[in-house]
Amino acid sequence: MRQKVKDTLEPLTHGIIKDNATFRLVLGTCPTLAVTTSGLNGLYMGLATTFVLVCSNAIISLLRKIIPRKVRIPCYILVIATFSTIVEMVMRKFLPAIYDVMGLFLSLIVVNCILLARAESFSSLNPVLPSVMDGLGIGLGFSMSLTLMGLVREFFGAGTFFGLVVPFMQNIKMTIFILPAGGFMVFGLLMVLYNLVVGEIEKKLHDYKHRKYIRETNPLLQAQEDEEKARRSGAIGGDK
Amino acid sequence: MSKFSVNKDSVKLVIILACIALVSSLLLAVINIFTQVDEEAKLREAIGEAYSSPLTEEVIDFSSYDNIEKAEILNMFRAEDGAVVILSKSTNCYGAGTGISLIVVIKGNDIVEVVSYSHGETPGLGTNALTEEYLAKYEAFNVSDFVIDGTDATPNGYKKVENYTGATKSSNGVRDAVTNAVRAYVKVAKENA
Amino acid sequence: MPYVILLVINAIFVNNFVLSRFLGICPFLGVSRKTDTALGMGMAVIFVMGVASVITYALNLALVAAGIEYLRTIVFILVIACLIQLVEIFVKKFSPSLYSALGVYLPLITTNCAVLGVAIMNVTELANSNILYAFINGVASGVGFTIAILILAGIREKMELADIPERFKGFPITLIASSIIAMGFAAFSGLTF
Repeated sequence: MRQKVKDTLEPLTHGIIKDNATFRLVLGTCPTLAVTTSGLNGLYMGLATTFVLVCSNAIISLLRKIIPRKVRIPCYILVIATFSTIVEMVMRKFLPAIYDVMGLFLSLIVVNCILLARAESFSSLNPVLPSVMDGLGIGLGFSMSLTLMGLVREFFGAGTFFGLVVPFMQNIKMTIFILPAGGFMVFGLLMVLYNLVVGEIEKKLHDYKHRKYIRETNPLLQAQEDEEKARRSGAIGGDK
Repeated sequence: MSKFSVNKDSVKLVIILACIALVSSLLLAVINIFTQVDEEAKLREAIGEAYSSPLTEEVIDFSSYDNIEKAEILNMFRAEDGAVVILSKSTNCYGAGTGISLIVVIKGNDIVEVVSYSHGETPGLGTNALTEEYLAKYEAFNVSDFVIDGTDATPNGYKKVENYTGATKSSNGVRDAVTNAVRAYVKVAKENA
Repeated sequence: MPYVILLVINAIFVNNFVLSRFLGICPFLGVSRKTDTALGMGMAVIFVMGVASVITYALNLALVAAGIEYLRTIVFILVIACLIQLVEIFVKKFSPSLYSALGVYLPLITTNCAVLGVAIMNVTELANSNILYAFINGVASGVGFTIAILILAGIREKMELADIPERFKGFPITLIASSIIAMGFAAFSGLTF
């Protein structure tokens, strides 16, 4: 999956939908399942990971000419661990309640496979700006899917929406959705749904582009179409 | 000659690694200074909200007593009316997150107040076992309701707080934290007597 | 002695690393296609977790003594990465048969959050902690991981022959199977100590 890009904005959009870390690449599954017991928790975890991802991508891409290939993995780990410890310290100081809920998983951002995967396959090959964009894209995609999963589990399991009580869900809330078993189940079902919806959209988009391409490159088809258009406008004109 | 160049290479590797490690640890040290939390002040404030009688400056030093673990009992104060205020933590990996910390106030033979201090429980599930109503059930307990044999303290079989349905692990965590506090209190009372 | 038994039951069943704590999900989903590879991965994890627990516990004592606890994450992850390299070299040299069984899985463990997870848990959550308990907790957690991954691998082998809807093939059906296993393990959370 080694890639080099020229366009700066391309990695941003790629990361959010097409290469969605959770549902498409299936990376970073541990925090995805563990902290998504509510929408807010998922959002905070996603944002923390995004911060680490953007910073470590930038630094690694800055140092990509200096870091020798033989010790690249320890170097990446050092950079990532530094930023994840910074996030941990800042959260402990300013968001103690969230810090308690995340607990272990805040320190475990270090071993989130997304970070090492992006360092290895993207930021060690590309200049700073695309790397930052890539980190932002992948991170936002990750936050989005964590929030989505958290919302689903919270809605069915506790009958709340971002902590606000949903009245008609209170009598039929199903605790299983918040338990670990529900986490696995929701993840599986959402993955199917995501691939279904995004797959359909991508197919439609591809078909459309394909047709457009054929129309543009085939003069015969173009002539035919023009003729038809002319005839139709002629017919309408004739009616008048 | 080739051997020498290999050495030079590996020296370069080590130097680069060491440089990165040094820079990152310096950075962390600086940030650590700025983000240090004054735990004791925060805790004293929380206790002030939970219990009417103000605290004395005295911090009970339990580090010399055997069998009181630093992981179980985080802090121990004495209030002006003679009650002992204990910040205890569940330790047997109950619940989610980093464990449940409770402020337990024990006066004489009675458990006067049990208040949640910090926890990482699941909202809507584990937090049910940390509501004021649930924790208040422990306030009906006496120290003598806990069976204490040697080093161990467990709630008496006849009198116990039922687990909150669906929040089994968190309920166990609460019981564990309260039990830890009682055990520590008994030990301190014995040492002081 | 009873505490050791509690520790083992807790790590294997009540707070199973994969099915209750969500640590080490990547190898759980990635290396569970066949029973023998799953067993190999499990053995490698038990081995590394046991060794890493002891070493990181000892290192943490040094870190606390030096007052630089904030470097814990960075030190632990580097030590674990180096340890896995060393273990690989040693096993390759002294026991080729073991190497042929575990060799492929050892590099994969570096990014297994279960190893770092158990190392951090040993120093933050474990009660009555000492180096022996840390070791036992590490090995027992590894055993819990192995049991979970073996069950899933058994189910996936059977699932090869099943008629699964096209969209559910691969990860989704594996996740749903793990969900059902997790329901079984949820029953253990009623165990109280």
